[in-house]
Amino acid sequence: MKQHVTLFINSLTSGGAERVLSVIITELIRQNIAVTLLCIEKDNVYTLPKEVNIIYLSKLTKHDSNIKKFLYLPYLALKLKEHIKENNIPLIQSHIYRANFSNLLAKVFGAKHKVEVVEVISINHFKNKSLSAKINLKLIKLLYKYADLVIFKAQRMKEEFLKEVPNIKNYTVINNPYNIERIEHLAHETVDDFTFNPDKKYLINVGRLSSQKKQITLIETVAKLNDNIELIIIGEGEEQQMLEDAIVKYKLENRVHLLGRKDNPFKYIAQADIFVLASSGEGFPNVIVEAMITATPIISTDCISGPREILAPTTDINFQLQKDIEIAENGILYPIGDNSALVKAINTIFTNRELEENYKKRGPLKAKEYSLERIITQYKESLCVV
Amino acid sequence: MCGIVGFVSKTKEENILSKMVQIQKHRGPDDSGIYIDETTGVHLGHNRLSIQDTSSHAHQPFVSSCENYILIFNGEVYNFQEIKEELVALGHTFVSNSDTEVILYAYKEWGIDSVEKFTGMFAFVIYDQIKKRLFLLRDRAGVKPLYYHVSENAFLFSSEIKSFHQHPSFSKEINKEILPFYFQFAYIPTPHTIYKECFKLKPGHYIEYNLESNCFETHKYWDINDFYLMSKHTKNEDEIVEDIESLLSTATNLRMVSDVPVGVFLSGGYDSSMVTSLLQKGKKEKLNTFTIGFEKKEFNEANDAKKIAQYLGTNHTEEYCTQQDMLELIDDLAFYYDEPFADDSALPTMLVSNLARKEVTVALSADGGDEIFLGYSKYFAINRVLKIKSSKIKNHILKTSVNLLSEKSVLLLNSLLPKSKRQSNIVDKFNKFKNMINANTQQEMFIRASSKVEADFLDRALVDGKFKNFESTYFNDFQKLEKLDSSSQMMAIDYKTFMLDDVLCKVDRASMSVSLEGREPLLDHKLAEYMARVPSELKYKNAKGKYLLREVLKKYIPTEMTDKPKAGFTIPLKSWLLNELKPKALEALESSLLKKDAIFKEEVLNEVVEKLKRGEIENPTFIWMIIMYVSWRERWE
Repeated sequence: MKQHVTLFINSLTSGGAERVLSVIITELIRQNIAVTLLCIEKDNVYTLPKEVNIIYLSKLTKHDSNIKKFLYLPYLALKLKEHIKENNIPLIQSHIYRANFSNLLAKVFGAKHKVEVVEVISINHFKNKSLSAKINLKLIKLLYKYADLVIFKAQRMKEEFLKEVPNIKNYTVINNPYNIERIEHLAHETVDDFTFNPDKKYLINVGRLSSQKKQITLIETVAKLNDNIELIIIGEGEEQQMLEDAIVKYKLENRVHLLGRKDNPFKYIAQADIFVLASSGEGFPNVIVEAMITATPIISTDCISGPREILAPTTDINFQLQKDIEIAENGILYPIGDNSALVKAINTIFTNRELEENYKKRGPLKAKEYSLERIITQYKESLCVV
Repeated sequence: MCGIVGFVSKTKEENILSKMVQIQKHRGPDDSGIYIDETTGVHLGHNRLSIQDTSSHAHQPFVSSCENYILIFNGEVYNFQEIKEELVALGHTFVSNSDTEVILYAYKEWGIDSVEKFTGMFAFVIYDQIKKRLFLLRDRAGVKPLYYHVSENAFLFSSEIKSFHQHPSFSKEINKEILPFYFQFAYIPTPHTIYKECFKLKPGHYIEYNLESNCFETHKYWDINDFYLMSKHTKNEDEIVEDIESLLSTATNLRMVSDVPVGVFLSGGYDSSMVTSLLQKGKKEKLNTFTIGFEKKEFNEANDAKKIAQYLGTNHTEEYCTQQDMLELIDDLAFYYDEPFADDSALPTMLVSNLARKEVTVALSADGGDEIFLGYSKYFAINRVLKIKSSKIKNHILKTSVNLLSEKSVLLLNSLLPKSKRQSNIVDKFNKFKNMINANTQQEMFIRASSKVEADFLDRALVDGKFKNFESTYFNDFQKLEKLDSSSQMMAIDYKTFMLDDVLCKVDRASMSVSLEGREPLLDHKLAEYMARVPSELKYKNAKGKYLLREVLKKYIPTEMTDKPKAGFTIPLKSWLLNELKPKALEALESSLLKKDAIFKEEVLNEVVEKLKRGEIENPTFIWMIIMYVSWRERWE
């Protein structure tokens, strides 16, 4: 005697949106709600509770070309429409672009369900010249007006979206959920593959090594800082070689540590002195909230979207810092790519004990707003379950 | 109007079903019935208050002639005659002259979407034996209640929670997460109840329960937000006033359809005067109107009601109630309301229902006017503050000066004013204003203005801080409505929160406690849909709310008769707590159950007790909430 919901995603491959969905599903199951998960293709990285009823709508694989995947959309939509009719499904919430498009197309083709789409990437991402970006943007503009609800992950993401696509009916913001107790627990584990020297200060960054995450600017910045300040970077990615070359170039072999991918990054973050996010763009930077849970002070670029609404929640969401630093309520913001501002931000924290302590205290408090129990209530509300 | 109850379980449980029906007999004392399908485990029960077709033809559970569809139904579908004609044309035949039968055949013909044709207030359950589905549905505004309870072995549903106590699968575990909300707003918000596994079905929604998989889904079929989000009407003011008058007239007249006598609750305010005017004007037959008064002059509005009744020529009944009348009812509240419910106007509403029941079986109650026509003063206050806040300098000056003022200086300033201008409860009002000025967002301002107890006090008083400040989750529609002007946002939200879970719950339970059917003309969905699309500027004019309603009303009653500040049926709570209710208040504050539940820090409760003993009360509503909570605990332990 259970409530039932239907969710929809491309596949359960590794990725932020997929991880968030797996957290949501696990919690719904724990709360005794029956879940059907529709997937376009089979590619499971995240494991789900066995109670989840997973249905694959196609035989596509991740290796199929993007063109083929796009051409498949109408077929998927028709298949979905059939499934909706057979099971009289009232509502389907989809979580990534192709799933969103199929969900909406099914409605255009006459399915009678309510369509909820979850936006995971900033719309600005699709403003570049690549063909797939153009197609995505076109489809968004064409189809999103049929959505009964668009869920954004961040306030600023919503603002940017509405500028491009003003004609959507109904929208709301639901931030990503965090399992605070689990992260706190992981943060307390001991680090045995790296030695933190008590005489030194550590900056830390976690993320894919990519041009978007701009770890290179952190290496450039460390070169300008005192010798006792070191940098730890956790993650792997396409810029690994370039970053290694930069370390050699600036002779920072002893001060910058590329630790690679870690299953538990939290224990490193917890021991570092400052978490720095250098990204040029984000959807909603999970890692900022995770660092806050571990009570590590944050410095972040004022990129779109996320850092401002987390670190400076009472300021104008549409403002973007162009010069200098902003000592905000929950951390310090600096302009994207401004290394000298970053130096100033780091020194501000290291020379102002009171500010540092304040950030350590405020972080875990602010993070509570993103607790799983709070966010799941919002998702349940959107899914029409209690 | 009636009571419905039932469950799905693996075994036949006829005795339990009978007990569940019996305990809510007050909802329908005229007839009762049960239906059980052993193959699917569907159990349905019904208590009937006969209003339409008082013969036995409309007995429920109502089974269709083909025996495939079974209905239990509470409420009224006022336009059933017109739907019936449509169905007759399609070849359906009817054995009764009731809306019950029309609902079931409408479902058979058009499926669950037939609800879109229904005008009225209703909660019903349809068992479709062919599809192997149960449909549980609640009306658009939520005038009629419908609760459900989910557990491993059974799925229960009922008009009132008290029936669940009769079923062995019912879990009495208290929903601790919701308590801070109750102690801030005095009611428990939909979809929650005081019990963890028990829920209120949201208005405008239905549940589709699959009897094969034993899973269910909730569907939404109506939402006031959708109408607020539509483009606004472009008609001019005169045209809009005309439209409203015609909609109001249709809505009130539809609600006179009955085979038993009908009356009106007349408090003397705009809303009830409007309803009374529309029904009495041009008619020879005298309408029955009812009001209650208080001996305490500042709380008594009975004279205003009487003047309006005289002017309109109704057959008016008034009764002055004493403190004793109300004190006797206090212990009944926990039984009839099933949950802690601390809107103290439940007491006078029960009394006026009792008064009306002596003459009539149906009474019209003009609720919802504030939420539809823009009536609450908090709306205007918030709009004024928002205006100030849009100017940085003004905001800064005001904020600084308000924060500099102490409570004592406010008291002093107030005492310097001439007597006629002096404000009662000035410290409370000042603190509310201060909180509003200091709020960051409109949502926060609205929450603070709607709170009966300050969040700051609760922060200090609650033992478990985990779920405090959770209230924003329940007012989350601000996000979805942010494109709208502030008045529209607030009205839409009150419609789905305060009006639903406080006002409508209060009237349903109070009227049903004496087997009286309450009907709500101002909650007609066509009127609500129309008003949602009227620009807010037209609703607030000349520094007064409800402008459009007053424009209609002045065609019927001279303005000077109605233009008086009104508070509805309010009671002198503070003075009671300091006198007759004092022992009960102290008993509740010091009760062992309250200590056992560990909701409040003992030192904070002790502080309230000490003050009360000295004759001081900071927040009477808070004490009332405690009394209601403790008496609910004792009643349903």
